[in-house]
Amino acid sequence: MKINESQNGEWHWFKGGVIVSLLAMVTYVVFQALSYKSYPFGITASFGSIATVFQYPFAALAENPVIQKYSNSPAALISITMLFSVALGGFAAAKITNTYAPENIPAVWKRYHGPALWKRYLTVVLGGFFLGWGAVLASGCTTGNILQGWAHLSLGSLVAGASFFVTGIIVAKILYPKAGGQK
Amino acid sequence: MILKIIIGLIVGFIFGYTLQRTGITKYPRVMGLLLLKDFKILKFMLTAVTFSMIGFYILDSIGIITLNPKPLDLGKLVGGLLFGVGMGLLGYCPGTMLSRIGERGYSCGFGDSSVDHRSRCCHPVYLHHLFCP
Repeated sequence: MKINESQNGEWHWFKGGVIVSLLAMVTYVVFQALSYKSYPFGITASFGSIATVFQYPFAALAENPVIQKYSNSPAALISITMLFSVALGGFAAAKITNTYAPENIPAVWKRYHGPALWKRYLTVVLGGFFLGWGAVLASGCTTGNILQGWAHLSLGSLVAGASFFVTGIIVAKILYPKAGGQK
Repeated sequence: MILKIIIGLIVGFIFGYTLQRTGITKYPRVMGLLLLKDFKILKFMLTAVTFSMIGFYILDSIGIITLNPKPLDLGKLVGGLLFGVGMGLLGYCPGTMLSRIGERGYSCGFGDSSVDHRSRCCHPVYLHHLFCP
């Protein structure tokens, strides 16, 4: 398969990977030159920056070390803008390729677990809780720890990135026990 | 201030756009990776990691940037394990989830035999077999 030739309208993984790696390098250079922050691609940091607004209604949270860490970050604004524009980028890509089709439940989920909305939403809320908690504890999500951390050969990121998949694979096998069998 | 907003907008837009166009924001893909069936995300990820690793270390050695690797502590392991549970339940990680919000879900003719999945569906045929046995 040629690299430029897309499969079912998608880009080849090589093309996407090279673009993201170029983006990572350029942003690292730009951010360091402007001395904003040293880890450019933190999606977790963006959520952390938004979480700092909770210190205004709940004054006791202002002493929380995580809240303090994110509210003192000089890159808070850039992170929040990035957060919204990632969604914007996804929207633009979906519109351009005519693949914009809203759905509440992934079709695969519906097939295996039924069309009950509460079941999916309960899983999503539970999953989101673990995702956020884990990402802040590990100081980075897949973007920060794998795309950036593995490229820097950080020992912490290597451990974190590997442990994402340990429990991820176990939970996926529990959710879809039949799909793990024959093709 | 304005510069920060513009840089954030550009970087986020390119990132979200690339994620969506490469097709790694899709639920079946993430679950396919976690079920060890579809390795497109892994290929994408490791391509990006390898290329930027070379770039980062070249830029570091000629002195344009200084790398500061994250130190290893117990939080990385515990947090990583918790994150994995969330990723398995959700089927997204934060970056792809955001891009997916913009995309608002992509339904294709999965499991619907009346739909010709080759014309409407973005997914490779083997994924169809995986989820529609």
